[in-house]
Amino acid sequence: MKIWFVVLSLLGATALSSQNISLREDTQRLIVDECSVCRADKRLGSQIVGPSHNGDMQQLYFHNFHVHIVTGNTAKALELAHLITFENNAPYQLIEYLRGYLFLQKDLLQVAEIHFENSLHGELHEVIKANSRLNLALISQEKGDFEKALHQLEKAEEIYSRVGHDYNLKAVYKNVALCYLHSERYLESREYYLKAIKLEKVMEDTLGLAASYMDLANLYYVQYKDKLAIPLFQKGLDYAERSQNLNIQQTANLNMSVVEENRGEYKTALAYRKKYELLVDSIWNRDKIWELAEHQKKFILAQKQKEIILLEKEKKIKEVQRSYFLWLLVLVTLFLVHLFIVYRRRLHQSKIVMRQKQELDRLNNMKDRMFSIVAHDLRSPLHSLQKIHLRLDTAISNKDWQEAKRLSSLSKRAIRQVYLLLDNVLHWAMSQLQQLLFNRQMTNLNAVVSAVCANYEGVFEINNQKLYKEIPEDIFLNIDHGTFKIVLRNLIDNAVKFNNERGTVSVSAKLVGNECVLNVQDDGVGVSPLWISKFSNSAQSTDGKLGLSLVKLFVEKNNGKISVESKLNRGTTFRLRLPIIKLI
Amino acid sequence: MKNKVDVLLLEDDLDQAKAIEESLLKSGFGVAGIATNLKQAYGLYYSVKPDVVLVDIYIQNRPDGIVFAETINSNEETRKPLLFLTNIMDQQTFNEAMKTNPYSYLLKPFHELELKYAIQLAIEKFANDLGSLSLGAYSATYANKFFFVKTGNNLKRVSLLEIEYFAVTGRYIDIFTKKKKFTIQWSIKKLLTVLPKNRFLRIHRNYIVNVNLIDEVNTLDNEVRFGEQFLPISRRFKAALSNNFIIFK
Repeated sequence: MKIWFVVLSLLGATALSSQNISLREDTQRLIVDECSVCRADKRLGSQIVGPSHNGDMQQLYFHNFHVHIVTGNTAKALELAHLITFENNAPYQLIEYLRGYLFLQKDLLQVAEIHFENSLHGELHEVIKANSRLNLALISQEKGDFEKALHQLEKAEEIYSRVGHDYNLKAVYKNVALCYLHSERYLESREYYLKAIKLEKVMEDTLGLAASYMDLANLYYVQYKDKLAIPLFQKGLDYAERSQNLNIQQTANLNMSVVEENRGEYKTALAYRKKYELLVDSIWNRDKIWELAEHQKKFILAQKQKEIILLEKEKKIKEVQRSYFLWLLVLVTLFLVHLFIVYRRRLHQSKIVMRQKQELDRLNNMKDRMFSIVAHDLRSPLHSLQKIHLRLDTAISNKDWQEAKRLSSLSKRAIRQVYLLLDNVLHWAMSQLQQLLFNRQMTNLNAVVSAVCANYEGVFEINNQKLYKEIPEDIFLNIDHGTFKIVLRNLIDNAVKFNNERGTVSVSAKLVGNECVLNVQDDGVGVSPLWISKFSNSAQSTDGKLGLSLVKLFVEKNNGKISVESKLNRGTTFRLRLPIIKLI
Repeated sequence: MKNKVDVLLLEDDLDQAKAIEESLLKSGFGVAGIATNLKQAYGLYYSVKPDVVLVDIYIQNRPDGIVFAETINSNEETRKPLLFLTNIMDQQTFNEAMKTNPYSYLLKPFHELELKYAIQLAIEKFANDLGSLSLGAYSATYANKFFFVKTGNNLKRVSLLEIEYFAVTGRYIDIFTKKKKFTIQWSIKKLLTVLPKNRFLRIHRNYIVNVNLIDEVNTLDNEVRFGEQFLPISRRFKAALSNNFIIFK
């Protein structure tokens, strides 16, 4: 080991640089030889070993301790320095030496001195002992105790020169020289500087030479031997410039500048001073350029960060805008839906009002119709009936039996008409008021038709007409008697009314598939196609003829269909189609 | 025994009752009786045993017609087809009446033809043999020990008790009673499914006889006698006949 120690003197000032102290390789090897952990496994030389490792805890501590010191982890090393005991461990002198080294690094000179002194007791490798002494000498120098330092250095010099540790030896020479310088023993100091220079020349240590020449120059300078000193300063500067080390160049230039200034050569001094300033700048530059780069980096990073934040804010604003539009859309949609609902309700209400109005109109029409029927349709046949009976009375008085018979037939016909009319009005009114008794039951078609036709006995004779009926006996329908009889009566009545003189009314039925087709036919004048389409399309009971509208209404109510065929002057056929009941 | 289809009438208005009776008789029905109140109706129903009942709903301003219908419906054994004949057109009474499942609901004024067909339909429905009487002149239906036979335009009733034998002639079957002969258009297969087996026996491919009314069985000539009439026994059916009779030789 050696403390890598450069003493820079600036007009007699000595500086102790402890930052560059490190354990040299040969010293490290000596420590490793003493460490049982390292001996067991060579690979572990520079590695921290965990507590899982087999072996004594103290040996483990020691191993980690020296590893931490070598790697410069002083905090961990300090922790271990307190834990380590001397029993069952590496030689305590070595531990003490390492502790001293550690505290010296921490600038704890008093403590370091104690430990170094402890390391000198007993057996220890002489190089390490020399190292201890050198360090003790440095501590003494710091304290200003040059005698003690020289004593330690003398012993170290003896060992180093014997072993051949040139590097450490050079440091010893320089420190001895420095000690003599401070003790104002210039001759001895000069001798040792020359020894150091000689050694450095062998080692080709330019940096060391630069320092050494300058120190030597300084030595002369303090003795006011300027003529000897200045060339040496110059030489130091030469070596410094060769060494590339900026710090030493700076020192050398400053030295030259001070020297020239003192000589009165201000111009030269200024030139050196300027060079010195330049070096200070360049050192500063070297140090600061990194800092600057770091700053720039940080600045760019901050800039980027700002941009990111800005983008994020923009994004947020956009999101807010988007959600705002969404809400607006929802509100507008809701409003429209609301409008639509209100509109629908209005429409519905107006529809109800319309329907009620229609219903009222219908009922009003019905009332008007009733009145008109009572006023005209019912009144006139009753009136004529009255007349017939007056004439009948006269005929009976005159004993004109033939006339009486004729009038009786006419009266019968009038009564039948009034009766049918009344039945029609009653059924129509009942159906309009939804109070019609409607009871569909299985009915023999022939029975119903025969029952209706029976009412027309005598009628056909008066009109010189014939009734032709042809209904198969086995047709059964699911119909309501009352309404179906109204249908038949109206159809036959209609046929009789519009038939020709001596014409025939035919009521016939036949089966077509699952349907019964019932035809009521006359051979009268017939009806126009316009009438037929009007009959087919008109809504019930709006037509002038109550009877036929009832026919249509009741046929449909009995699940039937009605159609009309007509040929001019050949007759009209009302055709009913009704579903039959199938017998097994 | 009369061969008319008997109708029991429940009608409090005597004039109307007369008119209905007249229509019924005109249509070839018999009138088993006319009841003018509920009690009378029950008495007649169980004594005269009518084939059909024709009922007005309101009897002395009470809906006794419906009560009567409910009562006779409750006994399935003695149940007969019932028809309402009324001038009541209101929906409520109609609904009440329909609950008794009448065979028809006729409204006054009625026509005798409607009444005739309604009764005929009621008998068909009761025999569960719909349409059987409408097919032609010799159609017939069977219900509850009676044949209802169409002769001309009228419906005749023939009790199993009075039938001596059936004779097959082509597509027709003649029913012989002591006094009369009725022709029906039935198949012998259908006839055999209808007749009670302990009473009627087939003795020949063309003859089915009422074993209770046989006057004489001649095993020598293989003949059966009903009064003056002799019927042959074919060998195929002889064993069945011997099993039914203890024959003295």
